[in-house]
Amino acid sequence: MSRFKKGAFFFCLLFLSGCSSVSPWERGTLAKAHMSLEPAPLQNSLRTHQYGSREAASGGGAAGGGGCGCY
Amino acid sequence: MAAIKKSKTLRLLTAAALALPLTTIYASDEEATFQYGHYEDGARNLFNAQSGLKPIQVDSIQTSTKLKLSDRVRLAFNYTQDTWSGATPITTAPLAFGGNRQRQISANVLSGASPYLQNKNVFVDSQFNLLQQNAKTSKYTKNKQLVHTLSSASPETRKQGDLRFGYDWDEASLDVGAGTSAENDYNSSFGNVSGRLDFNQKLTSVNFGASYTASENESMLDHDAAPYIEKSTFGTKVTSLPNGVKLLTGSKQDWAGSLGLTQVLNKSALMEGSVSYTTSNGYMANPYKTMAVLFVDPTQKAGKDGQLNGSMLAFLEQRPEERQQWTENLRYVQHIDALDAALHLDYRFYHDDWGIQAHTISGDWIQPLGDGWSMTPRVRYYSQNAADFYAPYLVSKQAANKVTFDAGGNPVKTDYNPKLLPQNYSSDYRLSGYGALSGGLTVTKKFAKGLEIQAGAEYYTHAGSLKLGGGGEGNYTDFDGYLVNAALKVDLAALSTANSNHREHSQHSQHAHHHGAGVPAGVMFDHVLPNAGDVMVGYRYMYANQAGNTQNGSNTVTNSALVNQACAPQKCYVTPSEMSMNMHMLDLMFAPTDWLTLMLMPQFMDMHMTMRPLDGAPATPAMTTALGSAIIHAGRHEHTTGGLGDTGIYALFNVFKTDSQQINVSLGGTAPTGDAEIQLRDTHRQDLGFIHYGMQLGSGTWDFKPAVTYTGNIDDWSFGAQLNGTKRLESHNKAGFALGDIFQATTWGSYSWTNWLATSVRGVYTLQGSLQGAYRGTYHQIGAMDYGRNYGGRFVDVGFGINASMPNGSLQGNRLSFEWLQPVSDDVNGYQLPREGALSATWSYAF
Repeated sequence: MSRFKKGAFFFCLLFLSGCSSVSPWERGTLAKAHMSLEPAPLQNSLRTHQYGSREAASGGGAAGGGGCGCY
Repeated sequence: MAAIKKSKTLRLLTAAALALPLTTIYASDEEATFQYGHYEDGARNLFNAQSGLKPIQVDSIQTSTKLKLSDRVRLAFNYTQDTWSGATPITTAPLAFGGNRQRQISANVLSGASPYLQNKNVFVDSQFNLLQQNAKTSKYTKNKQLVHTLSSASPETRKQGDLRFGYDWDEASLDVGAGTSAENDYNSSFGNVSGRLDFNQKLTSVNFGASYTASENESMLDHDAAPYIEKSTFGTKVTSLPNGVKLLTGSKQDWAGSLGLTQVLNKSALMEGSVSYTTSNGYMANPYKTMAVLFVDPTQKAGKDGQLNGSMLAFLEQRPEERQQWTENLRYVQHIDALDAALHLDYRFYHDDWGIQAHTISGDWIQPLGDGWSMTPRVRYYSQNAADFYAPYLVSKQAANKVTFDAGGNPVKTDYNPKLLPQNYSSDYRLSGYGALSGGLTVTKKFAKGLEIQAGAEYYTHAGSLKLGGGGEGNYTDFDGYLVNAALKVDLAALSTANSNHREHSQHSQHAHHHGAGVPAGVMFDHVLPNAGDVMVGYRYMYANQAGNTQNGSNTVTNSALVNQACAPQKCYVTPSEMSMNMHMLDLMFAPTDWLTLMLMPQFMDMHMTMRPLDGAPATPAMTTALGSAIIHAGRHEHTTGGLGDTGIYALFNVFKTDSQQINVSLGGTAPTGDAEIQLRDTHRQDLGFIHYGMQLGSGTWDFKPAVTYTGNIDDWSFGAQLNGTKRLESHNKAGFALGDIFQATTWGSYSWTNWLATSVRGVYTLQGSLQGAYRGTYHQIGAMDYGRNYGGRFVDVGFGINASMPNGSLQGNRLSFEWLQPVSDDVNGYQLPREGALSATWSYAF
């Protein structure tokens, strides 16, 4: 099995186990701004750009962006 | 009865909560953001060698606007601009080779020199270790230490814009976006689509995305390095332009796809897992990186100290033309109830078919502190192993050039056989094995009305020894750097809510945009905030352009007049053919009391200039002279600068006010935060010194900028007049000069066609003195723009403006205006390019 498939299998297992049902009125905490998966998108984009210009493992997101920033 | 009521409340709550899509719950639908970022590398370890070059630094600005076109349709626009300058490694070589050399300009002045890439007469021992010869004893010693060879670049700018439409269903969303990024040497366009499907009462979401990017690369090889680079290898397209420039071209396509699953684990934790795949083909090498190859003929007879003769040549790096990349991400968010904090843990595994595997793990702890403040400490660790084709430098066991004799005794020259070199190779430290550790802190303050400001700093350290499992690259690749950012976010939806709640108590926001309805976009300091605690946030953009035939006073001059008079007593060699400037300004106003408004205005600039050689100019001096080099360089390159400009700080007062008229006074000025000491990089081993005065980002001096403004209105007509000035408070800046003082008078009239639309006409008279002083330090006067007397003048413009303000709806209180300033008369000091016009655009929101 390729590493990719193993990874995918692992994620599925993880998600299927250990989830409890959360009623809509119990989602107050989850709705807080700092509980967002992406709490600081603007700062994150700047960081991603900097890491991308210094590391080989850049990108990986499908959002797409252009430019070389060959510095 | 109570039970029924309760269940009804519960049902309503349930419905409301269910309407929130999990993954976008938090993002505001309507917001405007602005961010400034600065990244800077620390100095590289050159092991006692000196390069004298400043490490790379990058200034970035980003703006984005998100709007809702209807209940379900979203629109987002993003703009990013980066400007960078400074030195980065061009290659790696043994220290004994001496790639970094500082050049002595005078007894006390050293300048960063061009990289030294090629030497056809080096010595190695029998193990092919480079030998260093002691100048005094002539003895050879082995030195295996490696070192980066640094190379510097003049400032360069990249601009990127993209647009995104989104549509929301009750349990799904779809986004489609496209954008483009432009640099001098690299252009790319991209399109993407992404979506989300919610299941299981929105406890589970599936996210997917796909994107396509097409890039074109057209790089001018560093003309200092180009003669010493072997370019004839392996299909890299290098062409020679008529002016001698070596141009490398290539194109690249990337396709990417991703699939993710977000799951609420319990009422205080959620998790996301995703995978993504990118396939790329085309030119993926860096045109500014070379590979050092040591050629040694093993069949030669060793010298008396056992030394062998070799050649060190530089090759353009060769990367595979295909790349497949996979990433697997896991993100976990846990609420810490006791502290109301959120812990974010991310892990990413990356691998590609270049042989690189990388692990990234990061943790952020977001701690609310009360009163809208929050603090986020952050740690990140990254580790990768080297690409299959990475090597610091290569050894090839063959002669670089060999002379043999044929049967007739005639010499036959044979060059190296490129087929004996690997097919792909790179010495880019980013493809080596290493680890990187970074940590930072971000502080955020949220104001009640939907305004948020953020400041963050992160320190980054890269080291071979930090590689997971050891075996990373040597410590010569180690470096550190830091990244700081400051951001401003305005939640437009929250603002309008706050506003409508306030309306009964205060009419000021309507008043603010009523009286501002007719003020043209190019006018500043026209109004004060009327009540203590009022805030206004604005963004101003200005573009100005100069092009055409150079003028002396108001008259066009010939090339020969330019050559002989504009630079007298010297001669001019080149003349600007086009100059443009973009300014982005943040306009932040706050009234601490009823009678005083404070205004802070950070500015971000970028400037471009192209030049042409002048017919009739004296023969250009040789490229080996600094002047010759500066002239040749100017004719070949667009000059670009960009980054933070000067920062305005003002206090505004109302001194006279009736129902329909008022007079405001503004006192303040600008702090010299913009760089006024930008230099061109060395070219042809010559120090080109300071860039042209007009290309500096700031005045370099503290400037006093008073203004008095009258505004009035009768029915649908409004009108105004302003006198303003700029007085330099210092006779010269650190670089040695001061820009001329400015006096400006302007008057305008406008008519409101409806309650939201007005148009304006304006007249402007500007008087600016010439530039005082001159650069202290090296600079080369090659054209009129290098003489202070060719700055300033008397200018008349007519402005045509259009202003829109949103009287109601969710964007109520927003004001948008544009103005085009058309030059009517230019009476310039000395010799200058005429102005073509200026565009101003402003957005502001008073609340």
